[in-house]
Amino acid sequence: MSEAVLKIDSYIEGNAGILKLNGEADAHTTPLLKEELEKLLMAGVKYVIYDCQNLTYISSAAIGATAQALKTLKERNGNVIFIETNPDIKNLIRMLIAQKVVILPNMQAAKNFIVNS
Amino acid sequence: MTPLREKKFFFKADLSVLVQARKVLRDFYAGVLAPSTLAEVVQSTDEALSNIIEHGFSQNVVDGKIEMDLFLYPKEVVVILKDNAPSFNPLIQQVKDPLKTFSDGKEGGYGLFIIKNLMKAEYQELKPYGNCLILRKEYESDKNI
Repeated sequence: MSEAVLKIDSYIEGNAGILKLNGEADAHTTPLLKEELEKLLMAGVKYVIYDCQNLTYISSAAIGATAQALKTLKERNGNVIFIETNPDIKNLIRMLIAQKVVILPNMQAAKNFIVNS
Repeated sequence: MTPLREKKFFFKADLSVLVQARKVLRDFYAGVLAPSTLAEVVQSTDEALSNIIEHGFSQNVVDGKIEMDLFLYPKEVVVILKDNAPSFNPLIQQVKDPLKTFSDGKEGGYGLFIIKNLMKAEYQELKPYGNCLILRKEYESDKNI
């Protein structure tokens, strides 16, 4: 049996839930991501920030989990923000959902975006 | 044409093997493909494997198995995925617009879009049962990689 390849540190700052993703998010580890997203949504956050600094791979399953969360966040006039994405992950997000989420370089940019929204 | 390199790998049909499959792909094509090309091959193959495991084996198949054959030709990468699931051609399914799917909050439907956008895909039914998906991608040969 292969080891789990995704570790998630989750916390809340203001009206934003932050998910620090470490490793690879694939169809096998997506249930873990959904669980953490659900906790943040239950806590009432308006924004979810994916900190991808240590994320090396993301599959469409993880994108799908994000779609469900985004629907709830949009009802709260919020959004999903990706930061610190590597070029491969950025390319995938752009190919699939770039017009629906926000991609920013770092945490400070994400906080500025939220303040100005 | 004889491949420069080829190798076969066998996996059980379980999502826990995806991490191992990606490692096998990266190791096999390392140093030959540009990083962006390698990432696209890994992405497409991972999406195809996920679909096979989640949908191909969704019915009660005892001892589900997947064979992954990797080939490197002078200008082309070929990945062949064979499984013993009930016959099903994923390529004739309608490719959904990912933006609409995402807007609707739907979880699935992105994999086929990714596969078809990043690689050329062909399907063959295996007799007496099973499926064969062939993924191809041309690459620029670059000794400086």
